[in-house]
Amino acid sequence: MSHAVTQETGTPPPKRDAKAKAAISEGKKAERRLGLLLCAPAVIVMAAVAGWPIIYSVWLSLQRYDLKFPDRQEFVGLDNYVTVLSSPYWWNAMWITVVITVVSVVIELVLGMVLALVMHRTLVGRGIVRTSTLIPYGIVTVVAAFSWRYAWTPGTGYLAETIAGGEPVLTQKIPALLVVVLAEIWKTTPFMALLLMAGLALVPDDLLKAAAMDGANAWQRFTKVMVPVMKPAILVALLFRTLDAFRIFDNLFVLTGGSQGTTSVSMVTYNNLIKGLNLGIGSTMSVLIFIAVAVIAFIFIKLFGTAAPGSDNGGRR
Amino acid sequence: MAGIGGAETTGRKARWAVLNVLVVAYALFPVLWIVSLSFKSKATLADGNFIPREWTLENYTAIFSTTEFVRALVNSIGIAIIATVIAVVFGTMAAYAIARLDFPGKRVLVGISLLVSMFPQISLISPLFEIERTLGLFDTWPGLILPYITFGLPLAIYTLSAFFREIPWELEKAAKMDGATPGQAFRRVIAPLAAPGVFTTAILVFIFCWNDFLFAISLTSTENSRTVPVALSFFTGSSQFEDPTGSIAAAAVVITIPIILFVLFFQRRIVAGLTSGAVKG
Amino acid sequence: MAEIVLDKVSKQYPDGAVAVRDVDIDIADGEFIILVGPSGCGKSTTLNMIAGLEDITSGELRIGGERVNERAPKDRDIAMVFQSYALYPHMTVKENMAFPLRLAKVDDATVEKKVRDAAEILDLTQHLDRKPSNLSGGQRQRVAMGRAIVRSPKAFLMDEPLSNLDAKLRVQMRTSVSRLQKQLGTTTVYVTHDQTEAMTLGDRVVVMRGGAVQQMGAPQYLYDHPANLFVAGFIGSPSMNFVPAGLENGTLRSPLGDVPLTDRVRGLLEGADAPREVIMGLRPEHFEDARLVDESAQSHGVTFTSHVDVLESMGSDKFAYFSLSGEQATSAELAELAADAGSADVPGEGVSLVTRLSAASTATEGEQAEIWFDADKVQLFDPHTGRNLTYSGD
Repeated sequence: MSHAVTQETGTPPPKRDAKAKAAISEGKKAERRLGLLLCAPAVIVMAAVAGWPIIYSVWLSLQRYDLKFPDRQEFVGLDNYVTVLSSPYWWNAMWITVVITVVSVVIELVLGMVLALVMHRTLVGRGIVRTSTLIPYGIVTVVAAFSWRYAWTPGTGYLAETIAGGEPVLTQKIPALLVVVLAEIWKTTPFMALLLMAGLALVPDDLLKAAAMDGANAWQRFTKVMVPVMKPAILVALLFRTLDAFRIFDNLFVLTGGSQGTTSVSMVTYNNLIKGLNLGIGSTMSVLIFIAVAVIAFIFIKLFGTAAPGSDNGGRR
Repeated sequence: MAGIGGAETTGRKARWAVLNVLVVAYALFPVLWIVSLSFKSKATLADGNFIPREWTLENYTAIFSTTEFVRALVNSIGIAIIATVIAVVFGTMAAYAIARLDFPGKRVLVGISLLVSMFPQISLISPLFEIERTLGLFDTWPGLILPYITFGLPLAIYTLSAFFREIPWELEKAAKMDGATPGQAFRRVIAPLAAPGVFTTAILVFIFCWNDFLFAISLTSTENSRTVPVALSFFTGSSQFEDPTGSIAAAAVVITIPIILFVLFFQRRIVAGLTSGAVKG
Repeated sequence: MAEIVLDKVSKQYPDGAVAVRDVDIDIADGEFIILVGPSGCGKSTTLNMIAGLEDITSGELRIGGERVNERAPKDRDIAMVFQSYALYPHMTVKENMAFPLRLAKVDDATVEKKVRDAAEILDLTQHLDRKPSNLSGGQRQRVAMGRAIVRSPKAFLMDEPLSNLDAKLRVQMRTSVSRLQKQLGTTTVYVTHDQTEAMTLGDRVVVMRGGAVQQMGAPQYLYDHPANLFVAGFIGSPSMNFVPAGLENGTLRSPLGDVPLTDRVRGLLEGADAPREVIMGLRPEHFEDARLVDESAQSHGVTFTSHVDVLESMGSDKFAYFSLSGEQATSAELAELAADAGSADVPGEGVSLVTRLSAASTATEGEQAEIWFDADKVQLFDPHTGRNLTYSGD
């Protein structure tokens, strides 16, 4: 068999024909047209209401533009950025936001994992458990925030009397932040748990049995088998929640109103923009938050590699 | 998952039951508290009791007699429904194309919607505030509906394309072989199968719109388009009641009712919808 | 009912890949024809083109004498059974079977009658009001068949309809599909990758590879007279043994010893322009325990002695496995067959041989055995082109 195989074989393998490449069949063309047509409305809306404004806000951030003094609008280059980045209020808000985000997401991850395991493994009342955990997810954030606020208000609330001993916790910085974190955790742990539970469902039972046969104890099965298999689900849940927590606004607005230095970046921006009517500064902050979120997302997506959501959308059928 | 002895199973069940009760209590406590507040009379409102000593409906009658709340409720319902319908229709079209058709730019679309879903909403507030003022959309229904559609779309596209990918498309071929035109194949075979997914997505998008606070407080200024979450926060000290706690609690309960109903009736679907788009499917 | 003619039918995808190349098949009215081959051989694409689910790039497809290339599936009047059955999950069994009739706007009474009749034939009467999700695999398969037969189409197309069933049920359904087809006498095109189905079901079998037809004929004919290595290796289970051999002065030198060319083989080789290096093919049943073969038979065969690796006793006969030293036979066809069977990377040294011996054989695992084979049954192949050098067909 050492002869060069130049002779014609029974059936030549399918060849690629350059001529046919150019000619895409009618059906294919129609499919493309239909695809683009069907996506057009969604793309147009997203471009017009999210894409264009973000570009516009970059432009606004380079202007001195205060609605209280509209005639003094002028191009100031990066002045607004200098103003914002040298403002202690901004950095305090950034710090508060990061602390709230990190603390609440870490606790949510642990608590969410426990909750997911409970929901996944429970022998009784699975339906009731799932239904009740969906309530924190679905409830209007502002409603939940008011519930917590009244619970911690001295005189009105059950928690203020029993736990805080009648102290007005919401008017002191650290306790107030703790309450905010608590409210965040309460509201979003179930969502985290649901995402993690979907990941748990991907861990084959046989794999756990095999690990048990190989001598792994419960903790080892969790850390060495379940967590690695669930890693994509965990990262997705973390990404969604981190970005979401970074946007914190509703809870702070209702619980502390941003007093005692408890403003988040979203609140500072809101205050400058809607209360202070300073579009230039507000837009600058908007752009900075956008960049911060992009950095967070980028780091996560780097960690994901191919497990990023949407990366498998290319495959059809 | 070890031994399944009779006695042991009972023990395990009891332990799970305790755990479950803890979870349920965790989830319901704040909700029950605000419900309790809403039924308290003025005199007992500040007694700090978890269960009302005197039950009354006066908080509810009070809020429904103010235009401030009724108007906000109408705004909330109208805006959320319109935004949901539009987002779901556009999202269905795009998701069908993504799941089913081959066309250039598909990945870009998926990327864009992922990007939008990660967007910090606050970043849109300043430009939208300015743009809407210029266009006369500020403090109108469309002024809120538009951003809601925008942020509802990625959610809709994600959830729906996950649902659509699970439809066995061979059925469409089968229908064609059975003599159906493409229209008939869609109407009689694909649409009935897609309906549950579309419905689930609508619930999720509605919950998102219903929940929003940031856009609503930034892009409205009067009763004209203010939604309930915002109106709630304006009850504080600005209404005719000396102490708005009771009114806020009652209003809060009212806007929680639809959420509770959704959760009770569509629990399974909401779970499926929330998890389908998020985990590789 | 009608005949189906594929006239130089080809399928080329927009990216240039050719899935099906110049396929010519004449399917007679009422014939049961099987398209068989490894995955990616173009059999399903061919079926989809007949169905109208894929466009034909070039060539002509005629059903009942009419060109139907441009017709939509619904206008071709043919029914199809899918591998996944493709039952409509939101409809009951009855609604599923009635669906094609409803689309054809058949009146209610007729629909009712036809569905009843089909259900009767397929033994589905008591399941008519159930949803597909409540049916077993075999029942679903029958509903899919029912949906195909209700409207008495010109032809049935079946795309691996049994491959989702478990082994035992598959054998059972195989006979009922065959019986049903005979009973209805409807032209049927059946796609499978399972050579057993191909052998047992069809009037004729079309073996495909790489988008082209390799050979077409009655199952037994393909078994006895494979046109090339690919067909020889694909048809038959256990498959044909392939051993490298050299042609020298009218003798075959092989790892099994020197094989004298019988007159028949010599005659066939004469016109074949055979190379010196060939591949010798031998079916397992052409071997026998030498002790059970009488003297006269031994003389026109070859006897060799080797170590029995594994012996499987099936009761009716015994399979003895040997591994002989020497090079394995290699060719593109054999490599493709091995890849399709998933055995391409199974470790093994030398030439492996499967022989089917009588139950009376005393061959013992782990010991030497003396094995005889019939030199007249030898088939020789060109390792480069795969052509059967001893092909005695037409």
